[in-house]
Amino acid sequence: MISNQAKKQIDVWVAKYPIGRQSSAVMEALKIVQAENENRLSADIIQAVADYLDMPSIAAQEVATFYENYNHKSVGKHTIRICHNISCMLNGADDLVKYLEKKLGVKTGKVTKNGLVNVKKVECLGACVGAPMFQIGEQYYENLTKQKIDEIVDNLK
Amino acid sequence: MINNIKKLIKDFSLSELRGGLKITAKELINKKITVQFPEERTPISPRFRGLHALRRYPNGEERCIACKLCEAVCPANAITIESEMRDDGTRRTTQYDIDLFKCIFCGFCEEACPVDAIVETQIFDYAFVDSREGSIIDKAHLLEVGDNNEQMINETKLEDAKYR
Amino acid sequence: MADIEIEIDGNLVSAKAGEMLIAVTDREGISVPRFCYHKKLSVAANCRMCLVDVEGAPKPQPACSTPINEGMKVHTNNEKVKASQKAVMEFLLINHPLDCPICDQGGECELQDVAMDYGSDVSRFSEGKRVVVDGDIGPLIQTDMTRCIHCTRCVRFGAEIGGIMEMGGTGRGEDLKIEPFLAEGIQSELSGNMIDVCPVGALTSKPFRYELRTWQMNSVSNIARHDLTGSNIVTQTYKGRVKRIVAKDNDSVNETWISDRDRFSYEGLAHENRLLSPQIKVKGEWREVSWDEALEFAMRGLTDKVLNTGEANKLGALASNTATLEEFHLLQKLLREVGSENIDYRLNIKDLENTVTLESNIKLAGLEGVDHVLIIGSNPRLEQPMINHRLRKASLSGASIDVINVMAFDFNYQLNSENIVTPNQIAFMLAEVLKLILQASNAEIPEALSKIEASDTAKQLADRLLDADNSVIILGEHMVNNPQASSIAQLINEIAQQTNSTTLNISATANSMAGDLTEFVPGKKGLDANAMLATGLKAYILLDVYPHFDFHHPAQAIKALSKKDAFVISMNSFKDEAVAQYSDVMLPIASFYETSGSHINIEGKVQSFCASVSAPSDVKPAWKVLKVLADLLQLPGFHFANSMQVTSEISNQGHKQNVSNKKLDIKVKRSVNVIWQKSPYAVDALSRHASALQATKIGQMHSASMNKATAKKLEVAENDNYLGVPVSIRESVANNCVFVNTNKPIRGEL
Repeated sequence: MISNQAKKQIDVWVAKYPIGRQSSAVMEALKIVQAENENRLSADIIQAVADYLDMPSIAAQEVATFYENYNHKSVGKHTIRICHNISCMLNGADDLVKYLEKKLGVKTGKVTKNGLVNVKKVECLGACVGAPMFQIGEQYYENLTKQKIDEIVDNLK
Repeated sequence: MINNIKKLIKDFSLSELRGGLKITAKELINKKITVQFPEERTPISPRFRGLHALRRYPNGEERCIACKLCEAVCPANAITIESEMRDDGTRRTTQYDIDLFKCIFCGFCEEACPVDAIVETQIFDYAFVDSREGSIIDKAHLLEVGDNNEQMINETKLEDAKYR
Repeated sequence: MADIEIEIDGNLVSAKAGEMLIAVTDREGISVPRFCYHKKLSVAANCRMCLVDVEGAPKPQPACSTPINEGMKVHTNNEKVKASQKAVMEFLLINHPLDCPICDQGGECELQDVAMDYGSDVSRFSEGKRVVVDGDIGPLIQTDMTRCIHCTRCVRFGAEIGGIMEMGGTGRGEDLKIEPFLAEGIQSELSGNMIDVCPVGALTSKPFRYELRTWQMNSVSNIARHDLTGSNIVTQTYKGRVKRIVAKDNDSVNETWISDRDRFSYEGLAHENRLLSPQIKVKGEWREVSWDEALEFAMRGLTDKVLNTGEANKLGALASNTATLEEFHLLQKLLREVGSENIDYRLNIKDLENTVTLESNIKLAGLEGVDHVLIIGSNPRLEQPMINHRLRKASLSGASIDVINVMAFDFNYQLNSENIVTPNQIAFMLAEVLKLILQASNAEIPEALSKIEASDTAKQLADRLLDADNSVIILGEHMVNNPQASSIAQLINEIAQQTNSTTLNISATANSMAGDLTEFVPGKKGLDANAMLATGLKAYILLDVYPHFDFHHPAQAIKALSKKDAFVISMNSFKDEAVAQYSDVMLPIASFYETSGSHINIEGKVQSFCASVSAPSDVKPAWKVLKVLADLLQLPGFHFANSMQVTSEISNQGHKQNVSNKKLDIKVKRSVNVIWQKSPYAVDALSRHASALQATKIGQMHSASMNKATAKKLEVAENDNYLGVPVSIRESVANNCVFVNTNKPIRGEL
C-alpha cells in the first residue's frame, strides 16, 4: 500500500518525535501517502498508514477527516486553491471565482470533466500583499487578473 | 290568629291547585324537551371523555409508536402494551389493550400521548354483550373505532384546540 | 496527599489536593450535571455541562477539570451557574432529536433528566437539525447517532478500558460523527459497556431494542457465572423473563464493567431449545411425565442398578463447572451418602494427575498492583475479560508481562516478550527457567533438570521473575489439553515457590472454585472423570453436562455413557441430542438467573444470589431436584427448605486441596499437538444459545490455526477440514501445533 520511498519519507518525520510517539507523524504521513495516490486517501490507505505507525486505524481516520487538506474523493490532477478572504475579496476575488467556474465549466469543489482541475475556495493564505491570489500545488500566483488566469490555467497539463 | 284566617282563605280558594294547573297548562303549549334516545341525542362537550380510539395518519399508518407513556400514566393500570421492532425498523405495538372496567376515563392517556394516537371519543353508548372479557378492547378494535370516527374525532379536537 | 479545605455552597468540605472539583461534589452528594465526565475514564471536559462558579475566576469553570485549591470558594447553584448551565443545555439540545418516546434510553437518559432540570420548554432553534446516517456496528450495539451529543465517553472507553480504540470522532464541527473505522463494527469483548457509559440513546442494546421501556422492568441484583470473576450485575426482568442485564458497581470485583458474555447471554434463557418437562425413556421412546413419576423412575433406576446390588461404587456423578456451590455440594453429598466417591467436575482435562491449585492469594484488585506477570497458555482477553482488564491496568502502571503461548494472540497491552512455543516444549522451557532460578539461589538441581540447558529466552524469563517483588504466574485454559499439563503444573508450583510468586490458575473457569471447595472431586477410593468413562460405570448422575462441548474426548464419553447397562440421569437446562441418546431420565433444571445459589470467584469470594425470575414451565432449580432425589433415596441430612440452608452447611465444612508431589518427569510426546479451546461464547450452554452473542465475530470463531509446516505435515490446505474445523494457515502459530478455536461441537479425539 505504501511505497518504500514514502516509507522513507515518513521515517524522517517519525524520527522527529520521541520513541513510542511515532503516531505523532500521522499528519505528514497521510500527506506523503496522499501525494502518491492521486491526491486522495482511501480507507485502505488510511489503514495502511495507521498500521505503519502502529496506531488505531480510527485515530488515523479522525485526523484524515478533520483537516481540509486530505481528500477523500478524487480531486483531479491540480487543485486551484483560491483565496476569498477579505483582502482578496476586496480586490475582486469573487468575480475571479465566478470567472474560473465559467471558464472551467464546473462549480467550486467539483472536478473538470477531463479530470485535470479542481477549484476550491480557501481561507487566507497569507499573501494579502498580492491579492487576489490562488495556489496551485506549492506555487502561489498573485495579483491575478482574468488574462493572467487564462494564461496560467491554459498551461496546466 | 290572622295567619289562620289567611290559611283558611287560601285553602278554600284552591289557590295552590290553580297554581299547579297553571304550570300544567303552560307546559301543554310549550315546546317539548324530552330527548328520544337513542334516536335523538343531547349535545356533548368536545371535552367529553368517552370510548377510546387509536388514530391513524392520513396515509393510513397507525400513529402509535409504543412509547407506553399512556400505560405509565394510567392511574387505574387499565392499559397493557407490548412492543417490538416492525420489519421496517419502526417501533410498533403488538398488543394494545384497554380494560374498560378498570378505566376511569380520566383522559390522562390522551394527555400523555406525544403523537395524539390514543384519544377518547364522544362515544359512551357501548356495551359488552358477550362476556365480561368483552370489557378489554384490543388494538384492532381501538383502531376500528378510530377509523370509523375519524371525522368526529378531528372535529372535536379542532374545536377544543383553541383552548389548549 | 494532604487534606485541604474548600468551601462549596457555603459549607466547608475537606478534600485531597489535586482532586477534581466534581469528585469532591460527587462524594459530598452535591449534584452537578455532567455528560462527558465518567469516574473511570479520563477527563475530556467537552460537554461543558458541569460548569460551576469559582470565586475569583472571571468565568464559570468546568468542575470535571478544575483541580481544587486551598480556600477555594465554589458555588454550584447560584444564578450565574444556572444561567450558564441552561445555555449549555440549549446548545446540546440544538441537534438532539426530540424522539424520547421511541428512544430506548427514554426514562434512564442522563440528557432527559438534566433537560428536565435545566432545559427550556421552548426551543429557539428554528434552523434545520442535523441528521446522521447510521451504520451497522455489530449485533450487540444499536446506534442512533443523530442522538449523539459527542461526549466521547465511548471513544475514551475503547481507548482506555477496552484497550482498542474502536470508536472515533471523524469529521469536524457540524459534521463530527462518532463511528468505528469502516464497517468493521465493534469487536471488543467488553463492547457492551459502551451502552452503559453512553449518556443518551445513541448507543443502546440491540437485542433489547424497542422491547420495553425502562420503567417497566424490575431490577434484581445477581452474579454472572460465566467466568472466574463473578461480575456483579443487575438483571432487569419483566413478566418473569430476564430482558436486559446491566453492570452493577463493585470495585473489588468488576468495577463498573462487565463482559459482553455476562451482558448478553441472558438471551439464551428464552431459547426454544430449553428442556421444559421431565422425560423418561421407556423402551427407547421418550415420554413426558410428571416430576413425581420421573424422580420415582430415577430413584428406582439407581436402586435397581447399583444400590440394591451393593455396587454403590459403580455410581458416578459428573457436573459442569457452571453449577452453583449448593448444587455441587448436594450432588457430592448424595453420592458420598450412598457410598460412592466417583465425583468430578473436571470434564475437559486430559491429564488430571497434577494440577496447580485453584486457590490464589491474590485479590482481583491486587492484580493491578503486581510488577511482573508470566502468562502461560492463555488468551486472557477472551477467556477471562475482567481479569485481563486488571492485567491491562497493571501493565499500564508499569508491570512487565511475559507470555508463553502456542500462538500469538491479540493482547490489548504491551508485552515484554511473547514466546510462541510448541505445546510439548512448554514444559522444557519452564524447566529451563526453573533450573536457572534454582541455580541463582544455589539450590540443589533435581535429576530431571540436570540435562537441561537454558536458552537466552529462559534466562530473560527467569531474570524477570527473580527481579520482581510482586509477581504472578498465570496458568491458562490451553493447559487443559496439553499432554504435559501435569509436568507444567508441577514446574509452575516449583517456580512460584522459589520466586515467591503467586499463582493464578484460570484454566478452569466459571464456578470451578466452588467445585473444589465442596470437594466435588473423587475421594481416595473414587474415580475421576476420565477413569469413570474409561472403566464404565453402571449408573451416572450428570448435572448440566453437554458431552459435545464439555468433554475433551466427546466421542469416547458418549460411547461410555451410551453403554447398554448404564443408567444415566441427566439434569439439563437445554435439550441436547447426545444427552437424549444416552440418558434414561432427563430432568429440566433452572438455568442462570433462575435459581438461587452461590458463585465463588478466583479470589475465593463467595457471592450468593437469589433467582431473578422463576424458571419457565415445569423447570425446577437443580438443588431442589437433588434434595428430593436424596429424600426419595431416604438419605439423611437433606432437610433443606431453601438454598441458603445448604450454603450455611457448606461454610461449616473444611476444605482440603491435594497436590501430589510426584517426581518430575518431562517427555516429548506426540509430534503434533492439538490445543483445543471453545470459542469464548461457547463456554456454557446459556451463552451457546444466546443468538446475538453467537452472531458476533468472537462468537463465530471456528478455525483450526496452524502454520505452513504443520499443514504440510498434516497434508491439509487452507479451508480444508481438520477435526471438522476449517483450517486457517497463519505463521503466528507454534510449530507442530494446531490451535482449534470453535463454537461448534468437537468431533474426533483431541
